[in-house]
Amino acid sequence: MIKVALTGNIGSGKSTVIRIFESLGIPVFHADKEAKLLYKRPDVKDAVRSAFGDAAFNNSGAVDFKKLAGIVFKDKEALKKINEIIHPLVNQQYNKWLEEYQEIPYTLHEAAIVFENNLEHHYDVIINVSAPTHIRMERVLKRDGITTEQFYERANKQWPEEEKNKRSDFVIINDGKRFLIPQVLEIHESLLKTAKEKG
Amino acid sequence: MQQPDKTYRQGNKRRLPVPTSHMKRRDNLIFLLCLFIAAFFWLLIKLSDQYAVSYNLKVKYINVPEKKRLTKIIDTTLSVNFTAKGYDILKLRLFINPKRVVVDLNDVELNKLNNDVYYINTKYLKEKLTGYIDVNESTIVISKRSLRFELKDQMEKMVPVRLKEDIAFKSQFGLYDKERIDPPKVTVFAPQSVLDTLNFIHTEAIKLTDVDKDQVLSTRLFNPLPNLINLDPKNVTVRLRVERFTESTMDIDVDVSTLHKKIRTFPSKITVHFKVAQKDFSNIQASQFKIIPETKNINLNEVKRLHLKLVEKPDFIRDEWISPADVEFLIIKE
Repeated sequence: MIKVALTGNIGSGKSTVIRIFESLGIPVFHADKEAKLLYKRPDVKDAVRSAFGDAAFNNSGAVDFKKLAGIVFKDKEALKKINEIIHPLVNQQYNKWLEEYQEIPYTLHEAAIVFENNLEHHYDVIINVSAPTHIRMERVLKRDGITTEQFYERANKQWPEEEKNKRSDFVIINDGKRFLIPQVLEIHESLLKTAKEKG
Repeated sequence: MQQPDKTYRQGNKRRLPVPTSHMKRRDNLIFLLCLFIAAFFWLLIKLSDQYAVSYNLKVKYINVPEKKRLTKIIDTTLSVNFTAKGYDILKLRLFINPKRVVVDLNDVELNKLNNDVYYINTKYLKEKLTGYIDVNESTIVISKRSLRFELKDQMEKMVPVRLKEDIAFKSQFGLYDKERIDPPKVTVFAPQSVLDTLNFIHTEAIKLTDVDKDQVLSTRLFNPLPNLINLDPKNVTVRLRVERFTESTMDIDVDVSTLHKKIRTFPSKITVHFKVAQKDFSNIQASQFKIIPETKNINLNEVKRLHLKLVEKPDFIRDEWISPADVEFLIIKE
C-alpha cells in the first residue's frame, strides 16, 4: 500500500480534491479532524495548558481553537511548541489508521504542513494542491471570515507554492480555470499502476 | 431824467402789443387741449351708446363622455349677436377678443338626433357666453338653436396599470416589494382596433431622488392617444415600500436528487450571494434555497462541467447570484 500525503497551502482547495479522491473509493486520513479530537484528551489539554496557560481555553475548559490559532500564528516558538505536542500523537493515530487499509492500493493523508515540519520521509508520494495567492485569499476570507492581514499572517508561516510544487511528486492546479477531476484521475491512475507494480 | 413812454411819444396813439413766438405756442396748446377735452367728452358720450355686435366663434368640445368619442363636428362655428354699451365692446375687443367658445359636454344636455349625431341646445350656452363676454344675457342672440356633432360609441377594456418610474434610492435603500397601484386596473374606452393592441397603461413617469422611506404618490395615467382613448379613472395612487438592504451569502448544497444518475459535484456547496432587507435578515434559512444542475438536453457522459441554477429562494431576497455557477462532477457507479 502506498502512503500518499495530500498537502497544500491555506485556501488551496485541498478539501475539494480530497472529496474527489474519496469518491474514487480512496480512504483519507483527515489530520486536522484527528488533531481536533486529540485536543479533547486530558493529557493533551494538560500539555497545552502548561505551554500556553488558560489563554488557549474557553470558559467550559475546552481548548478554544480560535484563541489557540491567535497565539501560535503570531509566534514561531509557540507554533513549534504546539506542533511538538500534537504531531507525534497525530502520527500515532495515522499509523494505527493505516493498519486498517493494508489491502488498499493507496491511502491519502490530508496534511496542511508536510514540508514545513520535515515530514516528507513519512510518505511514499506527496501531492501538492496549488492555487494563486489571490484566489486562496478570496476563499479563506469568505470561509473563515478573517482579515487580509490575518490571512497573510497564516500564509506566511507556510512555504511558497513554487517550493512545494518542486518538492512534490504530483501537483494539482486548482485555479478555477483548469478542470480538477481529470488531474485527479490522472494521478489516481498513476498511483494504481505504481501500486500494482509494487505488488 | 425819466424817459417818456415810447407809445405816447409816437403821437399819443395806443397800439396793440405785437405777439411773440412764446405767446403763439401757448395759444396753440390751449386750442389743442380744448380739442382733446371735446373729443374725450364726445367719446364718452359715444361709448355710453348701445351698439349691435356680431362675433363668429369656433366651437370646441371638452369632457366628451368616457364611453363616446367625438368623431366629427358638424356645426363648427357659432354666430353670436348682441347689443352692448360702447364701453363693454371696447373692453371686449381690447382684453378678451373672443374667437372660440368651449363647450363642456359634462355640463350640457346631450340630445340624440340620429345614429351617431347628437346636438346640444344653444340656449344653454347663453349663460356661459354671458360670463365669457360680460354682456347682458337678454341681449345675446345666437344664430343657431342647436350645435350638432358626431359621437361614436367606444368599446371598453380593463387593463393593468404599470408604474413608470425613475427612482434613485439612498445608498443601501431599495424597494422592499413590488409597488402597489390603486386601482391596479383601469377601464380604457377606445375603438376596438386600438383596444386590441393595448395591454396595459402606464403612469406618467415618477422621478424621485434620495429615497429612504415609504412613498405614497398620486399620479396621472399616461394617455398614449388622447384623441382616441378615454381612461377611467385618470389618476392612480402608487405606494412604494422602502427598506434598508444588506448584502449576505449562504452556502447551499447542490441538489442532485432528481437526476436519473447518481452524481457528485465538486464543490458540493455553492455560495448564494444576495441582498436582503435588514428586517428579514434573521428569517433566512438554507432550507429556503435549492440549487440544481441543468441537465436538460445534456449527456452526462459527454460534458465535464454542469451549469447550476437557483430554482428556489425566499421571496424577500433580491439581486441573487451563485458562485461558482459551474461545477465538475463524477458519476458514481451504484
